[in-house]
Formats: sequence, structure tokens, C-alpha cells
Amino acid sequence: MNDLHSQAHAYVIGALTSQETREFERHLIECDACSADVIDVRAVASALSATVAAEPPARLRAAVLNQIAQTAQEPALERTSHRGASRTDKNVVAFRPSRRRRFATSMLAAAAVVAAVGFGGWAYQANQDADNSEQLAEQARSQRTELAALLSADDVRTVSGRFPQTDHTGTVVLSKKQGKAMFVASGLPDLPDNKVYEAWTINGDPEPAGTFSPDGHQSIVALTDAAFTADSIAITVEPEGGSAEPTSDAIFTVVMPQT
Amino acid sequence: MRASRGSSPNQKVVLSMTTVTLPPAWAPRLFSAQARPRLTVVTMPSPTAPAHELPSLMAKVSAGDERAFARFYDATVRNVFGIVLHVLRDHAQAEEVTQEIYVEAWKQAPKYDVKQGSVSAWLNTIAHRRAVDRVRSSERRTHREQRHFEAGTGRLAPDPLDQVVANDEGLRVRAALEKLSEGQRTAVQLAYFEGKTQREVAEFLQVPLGTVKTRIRDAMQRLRTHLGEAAS
Ligand SMILES: [Zn+2]
Repeated sequence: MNDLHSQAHAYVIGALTSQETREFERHLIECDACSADVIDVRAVASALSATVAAEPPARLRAAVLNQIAQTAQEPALERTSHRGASRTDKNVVAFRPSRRRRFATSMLAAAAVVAAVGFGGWAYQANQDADNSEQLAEQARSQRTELAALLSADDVRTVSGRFPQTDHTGTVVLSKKQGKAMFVASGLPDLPDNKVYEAWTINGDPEPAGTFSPDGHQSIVALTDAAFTADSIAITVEPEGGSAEPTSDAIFTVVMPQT
Repeated sequence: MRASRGSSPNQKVVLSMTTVTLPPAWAPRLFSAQARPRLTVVTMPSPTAPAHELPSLMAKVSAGDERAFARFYDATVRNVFGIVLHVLRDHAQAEEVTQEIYVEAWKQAPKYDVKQGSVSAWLNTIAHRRAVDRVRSSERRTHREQRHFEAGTGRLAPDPLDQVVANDEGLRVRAALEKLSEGQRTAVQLAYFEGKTQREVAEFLQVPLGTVKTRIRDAMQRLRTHLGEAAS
């Protein structure tokens, strides 16, 4: 981090990762200029909350007052500032324990390594990977075109989830009007030739919803219509050609909101 | 505008509800004109304690005064609950996290130091941080339906909450947001209200990370100028 001094704004609005936050908070302890910036910017960020003010249910007030009546306050400290207060360390993304398996863990480690390289996101630019056959490149181009069209639908919805333990998100994009659903992710590691990623729609038993391999750093796959009614969408790694039912644990799941 | 006042928990608060088309606020020009969503505006009674009373309330709260804390809650909870609800997109979770925030505020109150900023800035910082932590720390994140930005253009889809509260401060801040460029506003929106990191914002908008950093910095500086002293 060579530009720690310029991070105050991003820090205050929560745009730093947990690690960057810790680094910046260490910096804050020794940098008065940044501390002053943080105090200033906090006043501005705090004002933003007024644009979304909402009335909570009355029961919340009773619950809060009841709980504080039974809660001891912490003693005042002479010179401890909140500015150094560390973020609660809850940044571990939990996957359902029953779904965790060694394979998934090693996949995620690989994803983390890839993540360190950095990506351009859902770029539409053709990814001129020398290894890609012309056909694969064409397929990738048409998927991006399809995604672009889907994103322009006026009823487009997106539902994002996070790949546990990496800083990357996968997103389901749907439009009822276009009758199309796609899954997009960046940063999925390449797989051996005999493996593919497979998407599943889950509504009771998982149903196959499409297989894909990353193209460069992006993965885009058209999902079956079952995506519109699924409770959740999951991704697993399967043998080439895909499976009729999952043979490994999900490396990603996203719960679809009810509509 | 003005409904019943008072801080009794059982007192009925009269709200008037109307459905209007808001002037562009967060997302002017992000909507095409015909697609501008209709938002339900709930007009709230004024907070029971005005902002300038917060420091004296806070002093009592710091000394363990539970009644003062009740007034402190009444004066601040709409903004706190609003930001939490906006970040989490889930009413039940927002209630849970808001309760945690106020318990935390109660516990930390004796450590509050005015040199670190105003009472509301202190509280809203705790609130925003808790909400973002919750979003990032749990796979419940996946329950959230996120606002959708059309990649590359930053078009914002209708807010699923479809509800904003009209209040003087909110409208004033909205006006300040209007003065930002669309790119600046979008970057702040995605980071502050969606809990995205700069990198995620960059990925989402397909712009370089450096651009996002610059937009966030410029946006916050301009907001500060427009809001002036009253920002806190
Ligand atoms: Zn500094």
C-alpha cells in the first residue's frame, strides 16, 4: 500500500476490504492527517444515512431498552480513540459446514491465488487467449453479447453471492421478459481438461442448469428456465460433460429471493 | 408533515402515506425518464429530540441514564435503521443488527469523545460498519437482492424497498448528491449503500480501480463542500 494516505474516504464509506481496513487502521494510529480526514469524512458519510431513513417497528425500541437495562457499560478510557477500534473480526465467510469438503477448500485456495492477480470484471472485450480455439472464442463472444442484451432488459434482476474465502462474487442475472437467466463470475480458476463447472437449480433436488469453463478470468453460462423458480442456484465441479446430479459439494450457492 | 410527538413507546405515530414520483434523488438520469419508479414516501414526525440536544443526551447516556438513552434512541433510530435496512435488504436482519448497534452504543457511550466527531457521526459509523460487516461476514449476503447496475452504464434499477422517508435533512443531502457527477454518485452508492469494496465497484462498473478511488474521494470532498458545516 503506497497510497495509504489517500484511503480515508474509501475507509469511511466501507469500501476497503477487511485487510485493507486493518492496514489503514494501523496507519491511522500514527497519522494525524488521515485521522483528521476520517473525522471530517465521517460527518459527510453519516449525513448520507438521512437519505434512506426508515421507521423501525415499535417492538425494536422495547427490545433495545430491555436489553440495555441488563447490559453494563464499558468504563471510559482516558485517551483511547474510536478511530483505532478494529472491525469486528467476523469476516470469515461461512459455508454450510455439511457442504464443506477438502476439494472445495483446495479449489478456493486456487481461486484466492488467481484473485491476487486481479481482474477487469465483466469486460465485454474479447479475450484473445491464444489457446482458445476459434470456436470457443466465438462462443465466448456470443455469450457476452447475450449477457449484454440481458443486462439491458428493463426488468433485469441480479442476485449476487460470494465465493467463500475469496473476494469474488458470482451473480445470477435474470429477465422474465427476455425469458433468460445467466450466471456470471470472475476469477474462477481454470480446471483440468476433464473437469467442468456445473450450475444447479435447487428446488428440492438439484437439477442440472448448465456447464461451463472459465474463459480467461470470466465465466458466463446460460441457465435453464428453472432458475426463475429455484430456491437457490449452486455451482459444483463435475467430470467433463457434466453430471445428472452433483458429485461434489457446492463451491458457491446463492439463495434466490422470492418474487 | 407533523404528526404526533412524544417518545412513549406505545403512543401511536400517525404517518401519512402518499405515492408520488420523487424528483431524481440518488439516481437521476440513471433511470430513463419513462422508467422512473414510483416511490412510496412516508412522511415522518420530527424526531423527538432535535440534533442539537444530542450532545447533552449523550452526556447523560455516558453516565448510565437509561431514560436519556430512550430519547437518544428516538432521536436517532430512523437514520440508523434506514442505513442498516438499506445495506442488508432484509427487514428481520436489519432489526437484529439495529438492536446490536444500540447495545453497542450503550456499552461504548462512556468512551465517546467529541473530538472524534459528532454524536450522530459516531453512531452512524457504528451502524454502517455493523451492517457492512454483517453483509460481508455471512453467506446471508446471498439472500439480498442487490440493486442492479447495468454493467458499464451504471443504470440503477428500481429500489426494491420502494420506500424513502421524506425529511428535511434527507432532502438536503439528496440535493447535494445531485450535484455529483453520475460516476461519483454511483461509486458512493455502490460502496456505501451496497457494501461493495472499491474493487467490486470497479468490477461492477467495468472501470479501473484507480478511477473508482478517485470518484469516491472526489465525491466525498464535493459532498463535504455542499453540505458544509451542517453535515454532521
Ligand atoms: Zn495518512
